[in-house]
Amino acid sequence: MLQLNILKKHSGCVWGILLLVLINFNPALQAQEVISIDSPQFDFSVGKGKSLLVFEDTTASLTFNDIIENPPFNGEVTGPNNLTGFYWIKLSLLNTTINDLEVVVTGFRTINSKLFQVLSNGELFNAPYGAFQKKKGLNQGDSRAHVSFALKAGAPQDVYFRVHGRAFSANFMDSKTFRTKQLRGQVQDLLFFGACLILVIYSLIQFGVYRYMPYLWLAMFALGMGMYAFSVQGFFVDWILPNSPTTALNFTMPWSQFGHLGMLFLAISFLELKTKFPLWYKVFIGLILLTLLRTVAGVVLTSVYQDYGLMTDMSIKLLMIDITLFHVLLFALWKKVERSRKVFLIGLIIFGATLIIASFTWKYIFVSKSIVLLYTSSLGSLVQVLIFSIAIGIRMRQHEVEKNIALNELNVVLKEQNKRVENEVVERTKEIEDQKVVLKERNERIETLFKEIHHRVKNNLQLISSLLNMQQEWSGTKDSAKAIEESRSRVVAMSMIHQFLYRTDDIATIDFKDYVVELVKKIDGIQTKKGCYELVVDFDSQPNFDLDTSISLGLILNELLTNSYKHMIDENNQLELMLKLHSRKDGMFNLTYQDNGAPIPDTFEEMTKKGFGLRLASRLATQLHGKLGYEYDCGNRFTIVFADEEMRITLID
Amino acid sequence: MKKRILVVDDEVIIADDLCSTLNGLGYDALEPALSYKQAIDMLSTETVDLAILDINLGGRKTGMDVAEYIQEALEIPFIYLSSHTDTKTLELAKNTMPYAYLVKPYGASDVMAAIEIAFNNQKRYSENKGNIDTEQIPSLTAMEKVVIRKISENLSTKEIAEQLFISESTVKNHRHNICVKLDLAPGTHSLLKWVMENNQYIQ
Repeated sequence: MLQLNILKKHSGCVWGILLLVLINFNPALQAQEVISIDSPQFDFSVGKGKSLLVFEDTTASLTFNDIIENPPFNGEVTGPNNLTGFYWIKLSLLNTTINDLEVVVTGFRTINSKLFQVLSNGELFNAPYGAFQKKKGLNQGDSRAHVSFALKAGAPQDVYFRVHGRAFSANFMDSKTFRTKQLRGQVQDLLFFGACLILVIYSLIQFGVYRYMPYLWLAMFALGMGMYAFSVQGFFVDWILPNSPTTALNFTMPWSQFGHLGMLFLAISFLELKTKFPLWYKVFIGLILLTLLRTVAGVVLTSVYQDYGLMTDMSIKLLMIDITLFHVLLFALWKKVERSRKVFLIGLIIFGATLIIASFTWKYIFVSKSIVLLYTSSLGSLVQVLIFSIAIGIRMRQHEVEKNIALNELNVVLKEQNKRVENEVVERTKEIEDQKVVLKERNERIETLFKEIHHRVKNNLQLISSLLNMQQEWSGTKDSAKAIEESRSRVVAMSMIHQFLYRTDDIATIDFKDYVVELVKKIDGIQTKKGCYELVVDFDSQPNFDLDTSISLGLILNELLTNSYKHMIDENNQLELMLKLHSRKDGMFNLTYQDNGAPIPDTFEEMTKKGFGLRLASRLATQLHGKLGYEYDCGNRFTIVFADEEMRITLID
Repeated sequence: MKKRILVVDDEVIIADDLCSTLNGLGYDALEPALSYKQAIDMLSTETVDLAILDINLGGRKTGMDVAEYIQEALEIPFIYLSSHTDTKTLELAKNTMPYAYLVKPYGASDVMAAIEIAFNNQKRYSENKGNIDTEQIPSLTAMEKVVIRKISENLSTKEIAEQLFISESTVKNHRHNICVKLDLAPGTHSLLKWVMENNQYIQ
């Protein structure tokens, strides 16, 4: 347990002085060597060896006075064997320099101890120190880790230590050297804790900016590890709870557990264990519970048993579980995750790696176990935080890249869609164009068919006309001749309409003016007494009438013409006809028919009752929603009021 | 007393011809009506014992609309005289319960026979008419009535569509509308059931 090495600057002098010591001192104490200080600047450490006299106080009740009066030190140089026992240690120092020296003793790892000195004037001097010392109990200028006392020049001086707990080791140095060392240590601490603080603040800022949970846990981890180092170095005790060191020291391990929890949360969050690897998620939840458990257990046990080393040992042993699991995790997940998380996994095992290395090599390093632990954990944690930051940074950059890829893909998809829509539009347009062509062809076909129908109807009617004619010629009588003739002219009137419909491109209406001219010509041709005629047509518009209207009008005109031929004034006279058409404002039409013949024999009413022709004309006029009127004015003047199809449709319903 | 007959046709020549034929057969043919409006006027103002209706009257209203008026307002028999022989027209005509359906061109003896039989059947038809509960068959359109009749003949939607030369979806539409009007649950079977239950009214 005791350190073996004694580092002395002036070994040669010591050996020389040893003889002096041997001569001047009590044979009972001949085993002890006197340590000589012959330079104002000195720095040596003392542990087990011939310069120490040790006595274990099993009763724990001896005071300094007892020791002075009855030095219990025997010739045997034994070392303290118990971690929590009390020991008295005696050292002999000789200041061979000219001046008095102020000696600073440091480098202890003890719970609480006291340095005693018998001054030249017989007074007793004591300087308490140790981790559990309350601040107010310390001497002025002393700390828990160092005490100072004066060493007068000339005579050898005995210095006693009452040590409680832990191995004894002490570094003796002059105050200047001490201050230099102290300063250097403070700068190191400043750098280290400064770095920690910067990392914590950086992580918190990143969390604030990106709202990415891992940054929060990284801050927690850095804070925990930083505070652990802070606590181990004693700063936590000094700054926060200077007068209850036992409580404050109980915080040390919990800070490291806190940091450890931060690392576990970070692992769960960054590796997305909950969603991607639920089994490992459960494992990590177990680890979290274990950590919480050992923290609580540790705090309770330490305050009960007052053994601070116990918690550290237990924690390290349990930490091995975590470290093992981290290594298993690394191998299990390595292939399944991408780069940033691979980096993270490496960071996870750094601490374990450094701890394992440290555990195996601490025996060969010439500092105490707890310092090894401190440095490995501190440096390891710093490296871890850096690696975690890098991993998170890689993840964020990857995130950007993935986002860009997704946007690009979206663009591509949109472009494809646009193209597809365009193609569809082109296709549809082509379809529509094709359909238009088909429809146009169909329309033309229909028109052709219509024309064909009118042609056939015309032919059929001509057939009837011919049959009538042949009938007359074959077996007709004089009486039948007139009837046949009248029938033929009616058929001609109708067949001509179909002929007109067949002739022109308009299959629905005919030019009434053209029809009228042709009709008169044709009917004149049929008359048995052929004569000359003169036709004046006076239309106020270009009327185009539908089939039904045209047929009715044609039949009416036929009757009127037949009537005119019947009542010609004399056979040699020319038939003068005038037709006037006027389209009225109310939508009806006025057709006026005027000949130059003799008046009808009876009144118009009588004629429409007795004469078939005029009756027919009158009935047809009513079919056209109109009327047939008559007056005589230098000739027979018939007025036909009628409505065309458009007008009839509005009138009929 | 001579029976007074009204001829309804938009072709005046054909109507006149028929009137003179009727007069020749011993009936008293009234001035023919050339449109739906004229027909309703004549029927409401004159005493008419029988009407001969052409289906196509040149406007939106057809001879079947005249027939419906006759069914609602008068108790006289009526006969269709038409050049249409397609199934759809026939089915629609059936809705109005005519006493006969003659096809143009007609013969005088065909017309006479139809008229005489119509007068004979008048008594029997008017008895049945009283039993029809018109409350039960609210405002169904002509086509809907046709569809109901076809359903009662156990025809499927497809068959109905083929017979009437309309699309299956039109038939389905009619069925749906009928169900809504009769307040039946939609679906083939409820309508079929109703039709079976009310079979006598449909005939």
